[in-house]
Formats: sequence, C-alpha cells, structure tokens
Amino acid sequence: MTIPPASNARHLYLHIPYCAAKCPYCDFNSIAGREDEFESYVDALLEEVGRLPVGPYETVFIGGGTPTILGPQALERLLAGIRDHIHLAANYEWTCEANPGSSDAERFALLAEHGVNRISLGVQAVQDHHLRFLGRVHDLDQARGALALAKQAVPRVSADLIIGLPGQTRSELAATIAFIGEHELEHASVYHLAIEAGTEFHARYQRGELQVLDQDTSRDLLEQAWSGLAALGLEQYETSNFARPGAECRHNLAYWRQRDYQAAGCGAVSTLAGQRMTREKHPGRYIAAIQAGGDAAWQVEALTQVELIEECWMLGLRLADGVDLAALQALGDASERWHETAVVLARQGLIQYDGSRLALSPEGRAVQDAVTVALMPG
Amino acid sequence: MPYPLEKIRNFCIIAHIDHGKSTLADRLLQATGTVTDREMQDQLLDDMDLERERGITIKARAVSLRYKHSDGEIYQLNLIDTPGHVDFTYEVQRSLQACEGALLLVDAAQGVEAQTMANFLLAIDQNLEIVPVLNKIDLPAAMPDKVAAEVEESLGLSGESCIRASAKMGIGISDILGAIVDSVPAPKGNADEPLQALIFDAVYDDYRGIIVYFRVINGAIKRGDSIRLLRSQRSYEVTEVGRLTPKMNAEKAGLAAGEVGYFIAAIKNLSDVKVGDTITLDKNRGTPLPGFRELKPMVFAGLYPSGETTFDELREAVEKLQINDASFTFEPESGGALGHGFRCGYLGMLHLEICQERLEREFDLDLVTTAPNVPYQITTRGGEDVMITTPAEVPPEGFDQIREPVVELNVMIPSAFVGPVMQLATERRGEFKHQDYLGPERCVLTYHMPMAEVVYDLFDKLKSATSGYGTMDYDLNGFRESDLVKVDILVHHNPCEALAFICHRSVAERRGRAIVKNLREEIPRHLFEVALQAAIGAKVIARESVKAMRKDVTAKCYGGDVSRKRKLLEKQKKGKKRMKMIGSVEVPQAAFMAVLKANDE
Ligand SMILES: Nc1nc2c(ncn2[C@@H]2O[C@H](COP(=O)(O)OP(=O)(O)O)[C@@H](O)[C@H]2O)c(=O)[nH]1
Ligand SMILES: C[S@@+](CC[C@H](N)C(=O)[O-])C[C@H]1O[C@@H](n2cnc3c(N)ncnc32)[C@H](O)[C@@H]1O
Ligand code: SF4
Repeated sequence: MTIPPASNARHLYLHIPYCAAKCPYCDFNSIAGREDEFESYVDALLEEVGRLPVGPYETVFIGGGTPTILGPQALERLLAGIRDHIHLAANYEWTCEANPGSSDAERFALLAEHGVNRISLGVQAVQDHHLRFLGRVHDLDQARGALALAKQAVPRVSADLIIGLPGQTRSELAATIAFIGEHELEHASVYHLAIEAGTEFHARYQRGELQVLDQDTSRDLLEQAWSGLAALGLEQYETSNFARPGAECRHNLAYWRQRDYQAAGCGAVSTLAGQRMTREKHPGRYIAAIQAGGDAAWQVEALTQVELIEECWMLGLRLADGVDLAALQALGDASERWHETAVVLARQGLIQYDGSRLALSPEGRAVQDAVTVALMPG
Repeated sequence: MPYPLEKIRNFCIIAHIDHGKSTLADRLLQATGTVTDREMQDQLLDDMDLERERGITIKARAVSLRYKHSDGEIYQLNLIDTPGHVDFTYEVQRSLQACEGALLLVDAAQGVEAQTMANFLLAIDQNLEIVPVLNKIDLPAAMPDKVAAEVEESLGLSGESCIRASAKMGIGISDILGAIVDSVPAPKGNADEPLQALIFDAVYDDYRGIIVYFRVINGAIKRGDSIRLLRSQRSYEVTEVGRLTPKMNAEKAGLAAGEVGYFIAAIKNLSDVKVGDTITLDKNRGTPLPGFRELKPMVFAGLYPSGETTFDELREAVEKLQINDASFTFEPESGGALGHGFRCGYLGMLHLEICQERLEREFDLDLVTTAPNVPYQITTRGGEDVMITTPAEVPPEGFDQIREPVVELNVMIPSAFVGPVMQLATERRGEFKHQDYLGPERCVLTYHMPMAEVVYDLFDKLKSATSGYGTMDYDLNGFRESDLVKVDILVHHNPCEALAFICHRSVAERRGRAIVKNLREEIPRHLFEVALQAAIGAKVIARESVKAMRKDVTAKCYGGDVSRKRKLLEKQKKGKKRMKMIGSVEVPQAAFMAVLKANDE
C-alpha cells in the first residue's frame, strides 16, 4: 500500500473504462463488451472514492471510456455515491464525458440532477465517412441529437473533434468549424489525429495500410482550424482546447498548471505533492485489488526535480498563458540555463518571450514539441 | 621418423562462393572418420559465427585426414581451407602455395564463375594439380555434361576427368578421395635440409595465444626448437607443434617436410606473424620462400564512437581487433563534428564490413563510420610525394599531381550481357584490355579500372546489369595519375571533413548533387531551413535544403498522459543529443554514409 502524501488537492478525476466499441485510433484505457462487470466496477470505484479526502473539490471530471454507457441505475448509483462522499466547492465544475452513441435524455437528466454541470461530447467528425473511418458507433445525426440533449440538460457543453484525418479537405474542415459555430458551443477540443502506439491505427500504419498526412498538409489544416475557431470567438487557451473567455475547462487547466489532483478508477492517475500514482489498468484486476482492500496501485512515481521542471515546460508551453516562470524558478531551473535558447527561439518567431512571459507564438504552436525539447533541461 | 612423403597429400578446395566448398569439406571429414557424425558440426572449418552467417571462409585453416586408400595404405591428406573473396587474394595464394593439388569444385547447375576462374588461375600459377569436381549433381537443374564441356573449354581440363558429385547427398565422395591420392603428387622436400616452412595463416585464440598455421617444405620442426621468422626477423621458442585433426593435436616428434600443422610460441603480436613468411631454425637457417608480400590496406574509413560509446572504449576495441586481424590497421584522427576517432584501413569492403560487425557485436559499440575511400598518392606543390588515406589530408593549397590505385578487373559474364557490362565499365572509367571466350556462351572481360570505382559497389552493379549472372575478381595493378578533385560538403555553411570526398572531376557534380540530396533525406527537419552544399574550393557545384519543420505537436495531454508524454519528449531530446552537431545542425549518424550511398545514383 502506498501512503498517499498529504495534499489538499482540489481536483478529482474518476475513470469509467467501458465503451460500446473500441475506436481504432484510441489509446485510452477503455474496453468494449464488459457489460457484465459494470455493477462490480461501480462498487469498486465507490469504494475507492469513499477512501478519498472529502474535499471540497473545485472540479470533478468523470472520463473514460464512456461514462454514459452505464445503465441508468448504475449511473445513478455512481453519481449518488460520489455525492454522498465528497463535497463540492461553491463554484464547482463537474464534467462528464459522453459518446453520442450512448447518450439519451434520461441519462443526461440523471447527470444534471446529481450536480454534473458540464458535458463533453465525443462528436469527432461531421462527415459520416470520416465517422466510419474513425470506427465510431454513431453518425452525424446522432451527434447533433446528443448535442441538443446535452445543451438542454446542463449549462456547459463541449465537443471533441478530430482533424487531420487522412484525405480531409479544407472544405470538410470548414464544415467542422461551421458545425461548432452552428451549435454555438462555448468550448471545443479539437485534436489533430495522432497515431498512438498500441492502437489498431498504429498497426495499420505500420503495415503501410494507413496513410497519414504530410507535415505541410497537417500544418495547413491546423492553421485553418485555429483561425476558424478564433473567428468564432473561441480562444486557443491550450494546444487543442478552445473556449469563449471564461468557459475554459478548469479541471484540465489544473493539470496543465501542475496542480495536485486526486483520482479513482482503473488506470486513473493521481498526482499529489510530486507523487504520481497510476492504478491497475485492467478493470478486472482493479476491482479485485480494491475488493481485497488494496489501493490498486500499479505504478508509483516520485517525480524528481528534473522531471517536475520538464513537466513545467511541457505543460506550460501548451497554454496560451505560457510557462509559469516563477514556478520554474521555484523548481530550480534558473533562467541562465535556458535564456539564450529562448532568445534564439524568439528571434526565429517561435516563442514570445519578454522576460516575464514565455509562450508559444502561433508559428511555434505548430512545432510545439521541438520547441519544448529545445528548452527542456536534459 | 618423419612421415613418409609418398603417404602425404596436401590439397585445397577452390570454388566460387556457394558452390559447396564447406559442405564438401564436411563430407570428407566424415567419410574419413576424422570426425564422427556425432561430432560433426555443420561447416566445421568456418568457426567464426560471422563467417557462418555470411557463408564465407575468412580465415584459412587446415585439417589432417587419415584415409585408407584402395591400395590398402593409409594416407595423410591435409586439407587446407582457402578464403573465398577477392579481398583476400594474397591469402588464397599462400594457402595454395602450401598444396600440391586442388579440388576445383564447380556447381553443376551454375557452371564456371569468376572466382572459379580466378582461383583456378592462381592454382595454375602455383603449379597445382587440378582435380575438377562437378558438385550438386543431385539438383534437377544440374547440367553436368554442359558444365564439363565448359570446364574443358574454358579451363583446358579434360571434361571426362570431372568427378560428378553431390556433397550434400554424399555422392562421389570416395571417388574424390581416391583421386586426391592418385592424381595429386606427393610433396617433394627433404626432412634433412634446414627448416623452411610457409606460414599460410595465423589466428589469435583467447586461451592459447597466437596459433600459426604452416606447411613444412624442407626440414623439420618440433617442440623446443628455437625458430626464426625470416621476414619479420623475430625469433621464438616453439612451445607446441601439432596436427589439426581438426582439433589441435600436439605431436611430440614434431612435423617434417611435406606436412601441415600448427605451432604455438610466445608470440605477442599477430602483426609479427605475416602470412607468406618463412619459418626456419635460428641456428640452421634456410632461405626465404618466394611469394611474400606485405599486405597493404586499400580501403580506409573513419571510425568514431557514438551514443554511449567513448573514445577509450573504441580504442580498446580496435586494439583487440588487430590482435585477431593483422590486416586491419588504425590510426587516431580527429573528425570535426565527429570528435576523436580512428582512420582504419581494410583490405577491401568485405573486410571493412566484417571488422565493423565484429566491433559492434563482440564489443557492443555504437559507431559511426564515414564513407570509405582508397588511398591516394599526392605530389605536393613542394614536389614531395605523400600517401594520403583521407580527403582531409589533401593540402589546402592544392597539389602538383594526384595518383589513384588502379586494379586489373576480370568480369565473367554470359556473352549476352557484354553490352550492358561494357557500358557499366565505361561509366566507371574502365580501360578495356581484352575479351576471352569461355565457350560459346560465356566470356571474360578484362579491364584496368580505378580501384575507387570498383571497391564500393561495382559487384552489386554488375549483378544487376547481368541479371545476377556476372561475377568478378580484381587485383591491384599500381597507381595512375588522374584528374581528381576534393569535394567539400557544407552543412549550413560549415564544411564537414567527414563528408568530404575525392573523385574524378567529371563526376564531381553528379556525386555532389547525389550526396546533398541524400543528406537532405537523412537530416531531420529543424526549426529553421538547413542549407546543404557541395563545393570544389569556393565553387558551389550542388545545393539543396532541408525545409523547416512544419508540424510537431502532441495533440492530447491530460492528467493520465503526463508521464508518458514527458518520456516521449525526453526520448526526443536524447535522440537529438545522439546526433552530431555541425554548427547548429543536428546530423544523424546515418548521414555520414550518405557519401557512400550517393555512388548508387
Ligand atoms: N543440392 C545440393 N546442394 C548443395 C550441395 N553442396 C552444397 N550444397 C548447398 O549449397 C549451398 C552452399 O554450400 P556451401 O558448402 O556453404 O558453399 P561454399 O560457399 O562453397 O562453402 C548450401 O546451401 C549447401 O547446402 C550439393 O551437392 N547438392
Ligand atoms: C476519452 S475520449 C472522450 C469521449 C468518449 N470516449 C468518446 O470518444 O466519445 C477523449 C478524446 O480524445 C480524442 N482522441 C482520442 N484518441 C485520439 C487520437 N488518437 N488522436 C486524436 N485525438 C484523439 C477524442 O476526440 C476523444 O473524444
Ligand atoms: S474514443 Fe472514446 S468511445 Fe472510442 S474507444 Fe476511446 S474512449 Fe471509447
């Protein structure tokens, strides 16, 4: 058993690993076809939640997988169980992820009833052929319907979209942006497709059966998306996240700002006072471990100072606000080490750096990883 | 009592690669009970892993077979293994010199090939009795009659005398053994004369030290003798003499004229034991045997530590390698972006590849090799003659004359391919000498060609120009003056010595263009556009650029992803650090071979 370090984390992540079908691009900890396990998983998750400090929490995020895949009863039991144990701060944000293929008015109503005030819906694409390519269980009409239901149920709604799909045209991307506008979304997560290790796409890619876009096309699409979203009044507050001012996802901001966060559920990661714990990824193993009274820890990392500094750079550069230079200083990464590199990068137009603020320029955003690597220690 | 000469036969097997030499050697060992079936390991004579993988016998060895002939007598048959690649011609010659006869093994499906021919000519030079054997007659594609006719026509041996065999199936093995006794002459020589023994190989063994393989021509040698190596002028006391059966089998009585075996003495440096040298007794000296030549490396390349490997580790490894392989040479050099390393010399490209693999495998090193080059002779502005082994040694002020090594090249091809091969030879600055027919369908083309055009990839080119049928063989013919230039490669305006090369003026532009193009593929995109140029002096002859990076973004990074994404960036950073810096440009190791690949275009 790992003794959790003292921390009054204000953020809580809860993981539901089940999906109706496994999407071929997805490397999240999710599996399909385990409906039989739902009840015991909810039991285990609530057991773990019951051991957590009661809060108050400013943000809660139920992610997946697809939390809304749970049947109404199980979902209700889960939400009520969470509410029974933890306290929410006055101005809390409670997000739940949903998949249009397992969304209905009843479930959304249950979410709202128990205090969820934000839904993040996996729309992914707005052309049915792209949805099929992505192996999604729903079509565009279902996504539209689910969005409408979500907006009726909770005050804040976000959509996830994947761009940079093989063969995606500029006009298709324009339609994607227009979709966000039409639905007057206050928030959207727009990701460039990544071929993640361990996914079916990755296997197909390695066999040469999946073509990915070349850098130039990707860059063009990213720029088109970024400017299109800006025109809708959605600010790029993080690499792949766009929001009306004030509508940012506060939970995710906590990650990027290196705040402590609690977690429960299989594969869920908590980071408390520099100790990062990943739980058993496999739901069955997780359930068994929790049932046996254990903490289901699969990996515990004590982050070193260098790692914390690296993360400060990596996460900070994702944000429009940029790297927290004071935090960096406090972590011991003196500006002498990186100042010269920063000046060169600024001269190349890749970052904005004026001594007090260091953030990527739009040019730099497209090559974020290379810039991060240049600035990171090591 | 010395072993009676008339009961000894010394022979070798000469063949083109893959014609079945190793398989036949195994059969002979089995058939004579030299090794039992149980002891039989495949390809016993090739005992280095690397050789086994490549199917090439690199180091000549010998083995004594006890054979009971049909006349009821027991004979000592000494089989001397010969290396089978053009890089090792000299060593082949010395092995042949230790024999009176050779089994000329020809694949009955493939026919006479370049190495068959080349080795045959070497064997004739040594006055060996040739016993032709057609192997692989079990193959459905075998055409023994046709190949026998070819042997008769091209080599002037009687087609009828060809023994038809299958080493694989064990067919014809007793005929071969019989023919060795009947056709190969017994060694001449006199055990009472002063010792004269020929070194045909030497190896370093971790347990036994240096083991020398030799053939006694005259006289006798035994344990305790104080011997002298005539060429290297060193004396040693013999601590063990014996036969190879194939294990080392010490022989108290020693070995006498006609016999083949090994000796061990407290020899420290393999480089003191030169193949072709003559062993004699310190007190009662014989005269040196003919044929000795000092082996000179003909291909040079820079070798640099990379990644985790340090210069000291590399130095230790090359020193150890030289203990095993006296033809490998090295000298420290500094390679700019590559740091400190060595300029290494090899007999040829195969030798280079073998050495590199051994360094990487046996010593577990991470290495960068620069493009290989041949040595050049330069007459400086001051009228002095110098030999250079790297383009970096070309005097910046230029030179009065530059000379390059030229080889005599024999290409053996089906006559239908004469056209494309002549074209290839012309492209490679070959000077046509003559064409000889080996029967109606095959011929040999002989050229004088700059070695630089031959060593790197001519063999591959020949193969593709002849649908795989062409074979070749070459030998050094001297140095010739030529219009050669040094081409510099500039990476973002910084010249990189490790990429510079020497070539004929007529191809400088094409090669330069090919190299910068290859570099463009090898150098990853940077945050800025990277300029690549090839130049002769101040004149730029080719240019390319690596476009600036356009996209490199990790799309998702949430609470559960942080460690993994951080590790990916750490890996990316590490990868960058492994690269070599030329100015502000990170150049991967593979790019240093771009010069070599550019020959392909
Ligand atoms: N069919 C057949 N194959 C053979 C015969 N002798 C050798 N080989 C095969 O030919 C290949 C080359 O033989 P090897 O002895 O390694 O040739 P080396 O390069 O001359 O030593 C191997 O795959 C052998 O198994 C033979 O008599 N018949
Ligand atoms: C855990 S999923 C959220 C919701 C739900 N599971 C669904 O798919 O509808 C998080 C989001 O990450 C994005 N994502 C997942 N894998 C991705 C990949 N390989 N490339 C780009 N974005 C990806 C998708 O937009 C996905 O909606
Ligand atoms: S993308 Fe969402 S729905 Fe698809 S497998 Fe991943 S978590 Fe499940």
